[in-house]
Amino acid sequence: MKKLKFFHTAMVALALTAAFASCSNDDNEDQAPVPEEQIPVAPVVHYDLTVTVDKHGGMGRDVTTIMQSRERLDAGDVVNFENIGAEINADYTMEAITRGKYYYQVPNSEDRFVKLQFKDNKMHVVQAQPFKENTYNKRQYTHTWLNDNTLIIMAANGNKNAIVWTKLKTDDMTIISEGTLDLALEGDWDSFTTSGILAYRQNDNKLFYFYYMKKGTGRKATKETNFRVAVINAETMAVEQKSQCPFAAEMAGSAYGELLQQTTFSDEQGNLYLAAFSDTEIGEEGKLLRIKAGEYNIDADFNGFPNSDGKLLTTQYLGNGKVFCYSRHDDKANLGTDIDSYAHYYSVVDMNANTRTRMSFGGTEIPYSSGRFSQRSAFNSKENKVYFGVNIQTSQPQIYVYDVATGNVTEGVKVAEGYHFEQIRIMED
Amino acid sequence: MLLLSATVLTDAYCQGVNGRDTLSVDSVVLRGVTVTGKSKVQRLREGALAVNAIDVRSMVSSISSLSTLVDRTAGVKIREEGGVGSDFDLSINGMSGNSVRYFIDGVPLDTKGSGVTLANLPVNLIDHVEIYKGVVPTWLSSDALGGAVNIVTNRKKVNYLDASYGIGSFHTHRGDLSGQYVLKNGLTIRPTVGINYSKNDYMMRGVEVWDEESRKYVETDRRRFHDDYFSALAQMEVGVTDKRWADEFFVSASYNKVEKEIQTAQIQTKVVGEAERKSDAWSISANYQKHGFLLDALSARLSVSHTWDHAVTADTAFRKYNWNGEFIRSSRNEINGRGRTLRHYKRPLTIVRADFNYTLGARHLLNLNYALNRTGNNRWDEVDNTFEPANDVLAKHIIGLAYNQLLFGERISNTFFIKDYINHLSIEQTDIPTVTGSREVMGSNTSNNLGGGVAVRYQPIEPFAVKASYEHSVRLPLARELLGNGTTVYANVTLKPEKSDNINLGFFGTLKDKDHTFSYEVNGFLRYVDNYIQPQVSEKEGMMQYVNVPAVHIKGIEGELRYDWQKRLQVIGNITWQDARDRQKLKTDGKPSVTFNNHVPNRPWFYASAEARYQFRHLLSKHDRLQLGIDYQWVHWFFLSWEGYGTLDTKARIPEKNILGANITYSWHRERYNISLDCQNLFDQTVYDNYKLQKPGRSWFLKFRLLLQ
Repeated sequence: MKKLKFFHTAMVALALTAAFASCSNDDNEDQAPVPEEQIPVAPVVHYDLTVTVDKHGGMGRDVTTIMQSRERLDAGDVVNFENIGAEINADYTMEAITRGKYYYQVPNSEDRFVKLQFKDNKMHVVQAQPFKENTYNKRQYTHTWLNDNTLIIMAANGNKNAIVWTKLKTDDMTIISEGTLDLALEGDWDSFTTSGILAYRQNDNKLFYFYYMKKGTGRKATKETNFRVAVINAETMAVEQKSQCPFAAEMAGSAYGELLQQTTFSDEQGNLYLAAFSDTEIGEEGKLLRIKAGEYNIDADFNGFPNSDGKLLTTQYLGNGKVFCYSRHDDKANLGTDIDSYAHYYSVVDMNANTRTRMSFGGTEIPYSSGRFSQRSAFNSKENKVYFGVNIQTSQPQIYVYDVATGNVTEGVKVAEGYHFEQIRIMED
Repeated sequence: MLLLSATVLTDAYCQGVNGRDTLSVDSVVLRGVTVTGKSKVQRLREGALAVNAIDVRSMVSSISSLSTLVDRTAGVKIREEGGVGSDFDLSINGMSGNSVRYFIDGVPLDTKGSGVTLANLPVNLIDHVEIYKGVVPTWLSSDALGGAVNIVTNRKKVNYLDASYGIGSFHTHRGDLSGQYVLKNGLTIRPTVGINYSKNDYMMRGVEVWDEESRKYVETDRRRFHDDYFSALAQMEVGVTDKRWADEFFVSASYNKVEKEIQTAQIQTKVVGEAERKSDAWSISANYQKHGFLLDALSARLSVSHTWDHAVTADTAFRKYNWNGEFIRSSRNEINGRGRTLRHYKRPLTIVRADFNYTLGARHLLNLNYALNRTGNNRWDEVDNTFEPANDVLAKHIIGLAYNQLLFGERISNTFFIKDYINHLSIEQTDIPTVTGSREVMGSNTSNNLGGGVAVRYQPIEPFAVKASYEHSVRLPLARELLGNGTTVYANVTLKPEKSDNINLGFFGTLKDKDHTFSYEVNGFLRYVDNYIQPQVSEKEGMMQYVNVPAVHIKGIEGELRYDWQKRLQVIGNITWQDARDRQKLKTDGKPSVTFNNHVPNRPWFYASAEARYQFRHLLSKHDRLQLGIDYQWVHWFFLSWEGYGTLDTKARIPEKNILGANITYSWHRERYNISLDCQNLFDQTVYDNYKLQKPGRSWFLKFRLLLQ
């Protein structure tokens, strides 16, 4: 889903370019027309849907995972997976990085990085690169893109007492450089978060690594109440600053990075946002935190997730201060807070107006959905529409289409009942 | 005659051919009184229960491992992860893992140590193997859900020494010794030693290695380089037989050691080059048997044992290996990519068993038995200081009562039995009660579960008999399943036992004339499993918890044909088909599950085997024998995951298995000397039992056996 940030950026640039070209033509009809082949053409996209068959994926589960490509989600037959699509779980995991046409991941063999393309409903290996120095577990790493061709992967090591990183050149998958962050455990804490969350701010070429420290494992583990932020020079990978969140909070998805869902984004001004949550009496209160452009610390006075009633799980930036969010209503007594509880819903946050509106269809709020991990929404910036899927208790999984410009919600395709509906990913053809 | 009647009843109804009963039958035969004219194995097959009986003694000279023999029988499938000493899973009529229990002479095989398996037991020690399918006799006192394997050892009345040494492909060596010596004062000594070693350096075909020049992974063949296996079992039994106060009283001590290197994880692309497992187990036991125990019609079999079992898994090398045997330095261990681990497991095991038979006339028998099984599970880690030690204890009591009868001149035999399973748990932990259920099961807790069943055999005419059996069986949760592991597995003290209704219906018969013997058997089976215990990932990072879920319904049919000509030619063939369906209607979110009633994946469902042996006698001398044998195994390919979802060409499959084996054995001097050459996988097929975990190709095994008696 990290890909969407860049896809959106590309689409915005494309739209601006197109608009500029259009204005120029209007202003000066004498100007020679731009040859057709030189006009940037928005890539044709399709949607890759992922379901699991036996039980929900994510959380390190090995389950039967089927993928299927669809040209459109706003209309068509019910999406079924009987003898359609590809089973990928024998060699690959559902957890992946996507950008443009390609998927990137550490596969089940846990000895390499792979660049994959899902084409003609089959997974193809485009290029592989064996580990050289740093090694990673499948599913347990965080990532960010420095540019179209540079991917950086980061995770705690096996003992979880150091953070290792690898920079990859993704056109040929060669390793540019590798190393270990100059971050040490402090006090009595004996381990870092498994993956943490990594984000990149292009304006000043800084990486932001969000992490916290823990002691012990499993049910007796204790952890820091306030997560930390390390500011890293993206060129030298030197840790330049360290700070701590000014209030008690934990990043969303700290163990699995953003391989299943998006929890960070940047806006047009270069502000960096992070989905987080704090333990409260109601359960886990979602927060959308910010590091202002040019600054390095969490903004203590900002929370972009107003009227929080539970944990914030995914975020997608739609432009102009609007964020498409998936969150849980923490009402343990009535709704439950399990992965499968029907307690999750979509809303749109307007950060400018500090409002949050739950998604409705036909004048009625869309019922609560089950499923916590994974992202069942995709933003097509060319269409300025969000395709989002829900798994409600009373009917089969349904995809809706949210028109960002008008705020209208229409029905899209349905997914056949019985599957665990996990992912929508928007990919270039 | 009372003794004879009791023995016949026990044998006919309970199929209790444990050590004591075998001895009784043998002793009767030695006195020249032929009870049935049929071998023990044949009598077992013709009993009321669904059982495979494998005559091991007649094949000791030619086989290298018991597991290969068991794998060829109807309804049974062994899936191995690799070569000698590799982990394996035995399924009986589609049920495997913890559903199947193993015994040696009616006592849990675990008493010899967790490292002792079908694959490394000295074969010289074994007389025959009984495989009970679905319905397990009460005298095994077990909470087996799907079946049980009982290994019956030799109980000869004579002094003997049986020693063998074999050498085989992939640097495999195997030495077995068993014997018996009766001193003049009546004291009997029975030593047993078995040693196995293999480098398992067989060729892996089509493994991926990185070619830097083309920047591609290319497929090539490489030898395994970190799969050494060593096991040793030494046992000494000392006791007396045929005393006024005891038919048999033995005390024994045994030691078992296993060292195993690990070559791959669950897929062969994940190569391991340093991690290994070791286990040491000491055991002491005492067994007492007596007919006419207190009462003339009462016989007793009592045993007590204690085992000190200590296993260590070492994964301390931060390396990442490839199939070239090269490695890069890594910051993770090899098996699960975490920190260094040197994990110890101490599992003390105490077993007390009592088995009483009371005969009511010549045709009725009551059997009462009791078993206590107390298991500890003490775990700690030497180098991983984040690992929290745990010490769980679980005790279970199983009480069985059976009534056996013979009617209409033994043409009908019936067995009725009930079993009471008592699980006693002492819970001190009270943390996270909403997750572990510890508030619902406070302090000491005892749960009681009843099981039971019936087995009937009816033989209207000589070559045709029908048998049917039913058991409502129960498997009690293991300590780890109930109490968690202190770190990554939450306790679930509300866990219910697994239950299954197992039904068998079969017919069989034997046609015989002077030269030809033809036997047939067909069995149908149904298994309705419920409250299946399986791990479920919990919501916190990396945490699991065992929960009860609806499981599977299995139905199937198996058939076996046997032909013998003048005891020179034996031809055996069997075929099994089974259909296992998922019966979980709802997903975890409460909505209908798409896999409901689908075939359960990753399990063999259609397989067959055949073997033929021919003996030449008096070939070079008066008491020599040359045996030529050939065996064939076929397993239909099967899906790794749920069938029907995704296109066929993208789905992972375990390929069809089609292998032929051959052996030749020459024995001379009344089988005092034996030499055999065995070839497995004659045509060097690439064979898999599990997904992408290759088994050895063609292998040879040369064995010399000396039998002094």
